[in-house]
Amino acid sequence: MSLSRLINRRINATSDRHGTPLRFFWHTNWRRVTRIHETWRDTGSWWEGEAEKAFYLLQTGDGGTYELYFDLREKSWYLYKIID
Amino acid sequence: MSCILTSGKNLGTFTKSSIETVSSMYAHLHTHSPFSFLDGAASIESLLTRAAEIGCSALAITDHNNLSAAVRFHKLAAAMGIKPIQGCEITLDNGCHLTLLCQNRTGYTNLCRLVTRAHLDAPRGLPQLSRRLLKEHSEGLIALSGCRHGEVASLILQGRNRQALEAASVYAAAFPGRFYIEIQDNLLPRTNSLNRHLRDLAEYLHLPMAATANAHYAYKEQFPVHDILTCVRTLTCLQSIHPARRLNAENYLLTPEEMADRLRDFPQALRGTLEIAELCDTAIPLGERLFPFFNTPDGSSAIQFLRQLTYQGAQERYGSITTAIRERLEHELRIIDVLGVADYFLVAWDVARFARERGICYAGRGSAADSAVVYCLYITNVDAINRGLLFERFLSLERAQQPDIDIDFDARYRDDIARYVYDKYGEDHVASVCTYHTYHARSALRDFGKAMGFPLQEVEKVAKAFPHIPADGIRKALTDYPELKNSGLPFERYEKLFDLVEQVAGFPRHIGTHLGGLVISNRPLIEVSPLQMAAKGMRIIQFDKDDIEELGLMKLDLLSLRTLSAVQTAIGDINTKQTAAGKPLVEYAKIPLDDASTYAALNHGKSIGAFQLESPAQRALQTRLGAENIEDIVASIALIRPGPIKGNMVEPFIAHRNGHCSVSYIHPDLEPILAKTYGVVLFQEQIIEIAVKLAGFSPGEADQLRKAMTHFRSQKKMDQLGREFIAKATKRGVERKVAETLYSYIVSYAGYGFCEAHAAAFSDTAYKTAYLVTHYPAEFFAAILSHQPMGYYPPGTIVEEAKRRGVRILPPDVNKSDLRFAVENGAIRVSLTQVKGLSPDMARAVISSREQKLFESLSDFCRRVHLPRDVIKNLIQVGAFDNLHTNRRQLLWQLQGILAMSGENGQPALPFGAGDSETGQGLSDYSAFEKVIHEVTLLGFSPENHFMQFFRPKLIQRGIKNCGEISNGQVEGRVGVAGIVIRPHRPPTKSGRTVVFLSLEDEFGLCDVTIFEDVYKRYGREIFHSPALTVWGYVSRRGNGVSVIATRIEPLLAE
Repeated sequence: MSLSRLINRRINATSDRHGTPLRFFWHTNWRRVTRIHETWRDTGSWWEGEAEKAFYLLQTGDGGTYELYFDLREKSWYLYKIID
Repeated sequence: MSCILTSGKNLGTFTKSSIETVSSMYAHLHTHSPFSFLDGAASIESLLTRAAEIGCSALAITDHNNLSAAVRFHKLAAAMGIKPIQGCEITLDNGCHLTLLCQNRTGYTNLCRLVTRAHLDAPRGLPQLSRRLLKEHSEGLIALSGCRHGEVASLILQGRNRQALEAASVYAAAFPGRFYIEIQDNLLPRTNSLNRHLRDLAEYLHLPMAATANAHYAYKEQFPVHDILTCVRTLTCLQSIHPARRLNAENYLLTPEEMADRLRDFPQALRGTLEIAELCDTAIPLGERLFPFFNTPDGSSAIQFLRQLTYQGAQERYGSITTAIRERLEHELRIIDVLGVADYFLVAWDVARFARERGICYAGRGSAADSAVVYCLYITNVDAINRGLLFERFLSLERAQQPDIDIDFDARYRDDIARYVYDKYGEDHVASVCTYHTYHARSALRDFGKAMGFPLQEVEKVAKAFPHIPADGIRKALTDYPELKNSGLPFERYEKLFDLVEQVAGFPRHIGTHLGGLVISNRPLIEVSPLQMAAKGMRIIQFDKDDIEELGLMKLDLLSLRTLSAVQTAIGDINTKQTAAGKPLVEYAKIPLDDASTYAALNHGKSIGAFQLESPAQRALQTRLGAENIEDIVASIALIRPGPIKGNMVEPFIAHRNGHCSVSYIHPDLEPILAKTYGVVLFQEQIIEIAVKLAGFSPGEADQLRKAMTHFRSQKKMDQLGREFIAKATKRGVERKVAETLYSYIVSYAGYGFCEAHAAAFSDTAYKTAYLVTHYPAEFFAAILSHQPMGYYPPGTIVEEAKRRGVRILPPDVNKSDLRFAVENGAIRVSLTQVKGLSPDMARAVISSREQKLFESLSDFCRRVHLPRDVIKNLIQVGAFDNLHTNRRQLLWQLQGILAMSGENGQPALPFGAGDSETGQGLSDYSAFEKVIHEVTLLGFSPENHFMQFFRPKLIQRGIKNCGEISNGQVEGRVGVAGIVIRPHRPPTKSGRTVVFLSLEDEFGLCDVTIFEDVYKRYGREIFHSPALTVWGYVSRRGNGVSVIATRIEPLLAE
């Protein structure tokens, strides 16, 4: 069973033409995405004006597993969780 | 890869035009419409529009466990050049979903069977299909493994891959070569892994795959509507978490590019979708004729037997059959024969015969009364020949529509009639027509307001503030209705609520049962429509009255009419009295149609209680019309309708009728047609006659002209009809100018005219009930009060009218009151069941006990009849024990002690005034005003008093008149009048301006009030929200009628 740490902080990231993240900057390093495990969308609390988000559960070159999301209104990336 | 593939394969027998459009195919095979009931957020029109926009050449509707959308979807899709595929997402007995699509007619029939079994074999409202039935009824059906709620996908998501494999094998065996593994990508967690597993499974079992979008709405923007509908369906609110709510807004009709992109790793699934779209052919059986066959007793053909019955009836009705009668009957019989609907007439005849033989009161209504055959069959009482009614308004070769016979029955026995039909034609061949309860402003505001988390009281207040308008009329109402503008409600808080409400206008919320419609089929209904159980315990088909005609089913409307129940009850009571007095019995059918006192009462607007003649508009008309024969009643019924009122036909009719202006005809041939309506075109039948007589149309063509004019769908069509009419008329020697004028007349009237046959059918009941009100007010008002709800007015108004006619109203009495209102020495005794909370069973218990021995006291009553404390309290407060103990407050005190002694614990405290003691002795009784308040609250009226009489001294001081003074014509000029508000309403007007009509009621009578738009705009809130008003204005006298034109309005209770 894996544990996760909630981060939910804006980060820098780059993506391909489908919007899939290629690498992101976290904790002094750029981390290369080596595998996308899952993607999904979440509309959140639309009635409160919350923006839609595109989530990615991914693995990086250093073996870490992360959950990122792209805020579709802000057009910005967030690191949501780190999976231990 | 691109999802748009070129296809040259055979597309079956679908229409040629659509085949041409299906050269580049793209299809959606799993789509929910609003008929998924709270799980579809886009109308069928919206889904098809989106489908067309994104280049869909085929679309399947797969609602949950029903085919209700099938007919309208098929028609709309075909009109838009999109191939309609009929289907269903069925729920199985393990709770899983399975997507089923019809390849052909056999598949449709099998789907109807499966959906029916899902409904009838499971508890009502929780359809579940036994999986073992799938194989038996799989022919012609393609099965898709379903969404995440499908058995295969859900097992994979649970990590039970072996069981998923086994389940898929079972489905594959049930649908050999026609079971597809369904994959979707709605951007949900675990989709990638799920789809990879599904692909592996498909490859392992050599099963084809199909890609779907599982669309629950057309456009992504419609997601909030779907989400809130889901909240309504799951009884949650937006802030709550529920597994049925979707994580995202991805259940829309994806474009080909989106589908190709999301499922780029599954090209075989995209190909499978197109393959299925090609395999599916037209499935729904439209345009067939499924009328039942009537087994004639002597084995003769239906038309032979119908002819025999018709002539037999004609002989009885007319005495002798003249050439004219024979010609008319033969004309009708020929059309009936050519259209092949003789069986339908015989079915209707048989139902009427059944009722007649059992003494059940009934009356045919509607355009069927245009038929002399129907009259001779004793289905209606309108003599179409003597009235000169045109059969073609009912049935014509040109229109070739199905006949539609509606019969009203005494409401108490309507279900017996339906039972007879079920027994005669077989349970498998008869079902009730369904209705759809659709979203209007109030219902949508209530549902969505709760789901958005507004407090219930606030939601109720907002919903009630709106009149009964469509859900998409809310914003217009906010500007149009002054009672909303001045309501003080914070409408700015509800912007989002209104946005959502507007989007569900007309969406079906749930399925219900049509009040009277039964379908009777020559084929088992299960082959034509799924069946399900209605709340009332009868089977309904999943199509409504509009759809069944397309399916070729025959509908017979067997309606409940409480007026007929009241008539039967009153006649029984009257004849009991007549017998006791040694007087001749009253026969309803033989009530004289020329009774002077009945017409005199009508002329003075005394028609409260009379069927169709009691509304303020009707009463006002009667005071001016001076009705003196049944033809005036026929005209009255036709005149007070939205059409004739909007068409401004009332004033010319009265003027012509009363000789205030001369009647002239622009062509002599018009005189015999229009003479009975004094030169005014009032009836639809007259339009037909004019077109026949002056322009040489055949009656059927003329009815088509009438129908086209009534609907006025396009100016181009009207111009074309005009040219045709004028050309034909001039050819027959009518001057061109006269023909043009005539056409302009009938254009202006056609849209507003009323069906004469229907008016004539109603007029018989209208007049006869007016006769009963006039001559037997106690018996007839008692009967009306016993059969509530019925008629225009609430029981309180009927009670007041009875009092005004000299009939005393006696309070309920535990030793005297019956189950229904009864006549007691010329007075009306209020029934026990009128008391709030007292059910018929409780009343029977009271009556049964007192039949042994009358009650002697409250404690005697409580010892012998065990009723809930609140019900006994209500009986005390309405005076039902007054004959045993005159002080109601003391009785309430005693009740507390009696119940405590009988061991009833935990009762809330009873209301006592000052001075109560342990025995209750010395407690003063309620004041007269308090008693009236209790009576009005618990009975709906006060038997012996009126709420307004307590305000009278103060009103007199202020110079405010009573309703009697005004309606009796004792007051002129400017007045003030006060009373309880009765039925404020805004009927349509020709000008489009709003005029509000209401009645004020006090202890002296009713006063009708007219409120024009400028006054309404100032006092709208008071008019629609205050229970009692003081109205200032001026008296308007027209004919024998008097009303008040309001200039200022105050709520009475604020004074």
